[in-house]
Amino acid sequence: MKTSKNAGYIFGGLFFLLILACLANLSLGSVPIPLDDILGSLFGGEIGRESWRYIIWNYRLPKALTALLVGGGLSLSGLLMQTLFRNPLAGPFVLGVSSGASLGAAILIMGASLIGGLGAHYLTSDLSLILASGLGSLLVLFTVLVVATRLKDAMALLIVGLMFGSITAALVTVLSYFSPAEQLQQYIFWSYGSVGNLSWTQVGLLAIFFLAGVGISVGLLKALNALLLGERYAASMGISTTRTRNWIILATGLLAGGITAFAGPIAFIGLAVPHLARQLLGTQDHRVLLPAVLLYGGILMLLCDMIAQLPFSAYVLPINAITSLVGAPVIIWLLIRQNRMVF
Amino acid sequence: MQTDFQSAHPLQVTGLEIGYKTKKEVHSLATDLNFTLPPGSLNAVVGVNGVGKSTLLRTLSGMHPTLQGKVHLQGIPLDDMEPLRRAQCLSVVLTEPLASKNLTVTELVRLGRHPYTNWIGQLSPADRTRVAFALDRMELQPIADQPCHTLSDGQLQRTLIGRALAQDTPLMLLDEPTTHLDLYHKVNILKLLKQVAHTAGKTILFSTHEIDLAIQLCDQILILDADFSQFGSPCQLIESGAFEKLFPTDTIRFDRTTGMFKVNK
Repeated sequence: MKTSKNAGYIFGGLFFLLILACLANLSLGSVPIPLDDILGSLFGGEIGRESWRYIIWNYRLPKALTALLVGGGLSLSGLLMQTLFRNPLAGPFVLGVSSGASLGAAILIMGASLIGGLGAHYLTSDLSLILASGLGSLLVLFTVLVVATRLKDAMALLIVGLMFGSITAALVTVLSYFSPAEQLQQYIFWSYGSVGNLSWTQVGLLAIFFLAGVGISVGLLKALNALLLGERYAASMGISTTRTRNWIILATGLLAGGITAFAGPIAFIGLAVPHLARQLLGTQDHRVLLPAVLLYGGILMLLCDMIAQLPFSAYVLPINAITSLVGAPVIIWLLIRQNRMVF
Repeated sequence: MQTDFQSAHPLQVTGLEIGYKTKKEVHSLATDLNFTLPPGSLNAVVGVNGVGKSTLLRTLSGMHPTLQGKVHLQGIPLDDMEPLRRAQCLSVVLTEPLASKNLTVTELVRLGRHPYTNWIGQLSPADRTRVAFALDRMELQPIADQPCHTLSDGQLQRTLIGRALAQDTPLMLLDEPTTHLDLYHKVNILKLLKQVAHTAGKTILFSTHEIDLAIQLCDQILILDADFSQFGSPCQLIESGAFEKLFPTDTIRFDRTTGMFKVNK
């Protein structure tokens, strides 16, 4: 068929772009490293300077992998939420996962200072931040799951998710009102998001969350396609809608929660990429869209990270700002050009 | 009773009561419904607004709990059926809008094969034959590649019926398949349904407000009423005067000779 042939070319193109983006991402940064040396250090060949090898293996490669996992994972959870809620505005965080993570981080950073100065510095290490925000996401996720089993309507669940978001945001506001400037700044820096500074072990942990989320989603592909007709049609075709809904929530929680714990709340990618992928491939079939959003999200995140690193300078911009700053105009441009949204 | 249980009628309803149950009260819409639909028949449910036609169809499709009585599909109690088994016994056409209107006609009809495909929804040659059959029967070939948002109401309705037909179930339940259509397309849809019932051997039950058309085209009609529902062939129902009691007689009356409703002037 015509469409599947096109899809083959598109996937080929996406793969090519992904490799290109990866290499460019590794090459650019405060110290530009020539492409030859990158390939050399990756595949054990010659390298111009020994320090470059260190930079690539211990800094840039984990960062590029993190960007790939973060971009792909957020995009996939956005796709899951948009299909579950049949709403083009849904993203990975509509169920309050990122608000939960923010609350966890806020309690750790700002709460620790309120309790007392002793050990506050020790508490707010990178690892404890990951743990706190992860626990925050998990808490919200379980609450949502409990509520979901009591609600018949997916739309009501969407509202509940937004309410959880408001509650946690309000708690964070109260906490920040009583916090000293230093802690406040630390919290704000966390909320900017970052794909750098992860050790190989942490990247490995993130990859486990990612693979678990992707694995569940692959098992859900058929049910997701049935949901395109609405929950009642899906039920009439033998799909258990409550079970499907719970699995979707779990997959989203693992992906979005895990990513937010390791990289902070990263906006926009999860909302935008599913739309971009639908527009690119002209299909609603999740069997095509799932690999497409993973690739597309990865590419976009690598590009955003490249821009955030401000090549040839020592500055690093907050990635959270870049994703929206770069992504939003792209979406607007695409919508105006095509004049219609594929949803 | 044992023989009834084992009979393989596509749909058998005994002593059914439909309605809504909340924690505080039970709101019954219709009681003591008894009817059996034979294989390969076209059947209509008629009744005034709010009498529970949609609720009946939802109850029969297992999406809404019964208050009392039994529903058997192919001789098996509906309540005992696994969702997947049920999806192979009955298909539905609903009034609610599609969640995604960007599917093409073919994609939508293909989704009807879900109860039979593997874990990832891959179509076998047999599935493809069935989809082609459904497209053909519903005269969808010319619009097969069009996305659903470009279709007229009549085309969309045929597509939805095509999806149910691709699901290849002995029983098809349709909720008001002719609403929003002009007279020509109403008749067109109903004639296609009749053809499907008689030539493809499907048992079809649909709710409608087009009583005159139902009288002309259906094998059997269920007149749904809160206290006294009646089921029978159009002729039997006309003979027994069932249609006269359907509406208050001060505005319209039923004319037995033509089988149509006339406005009282």
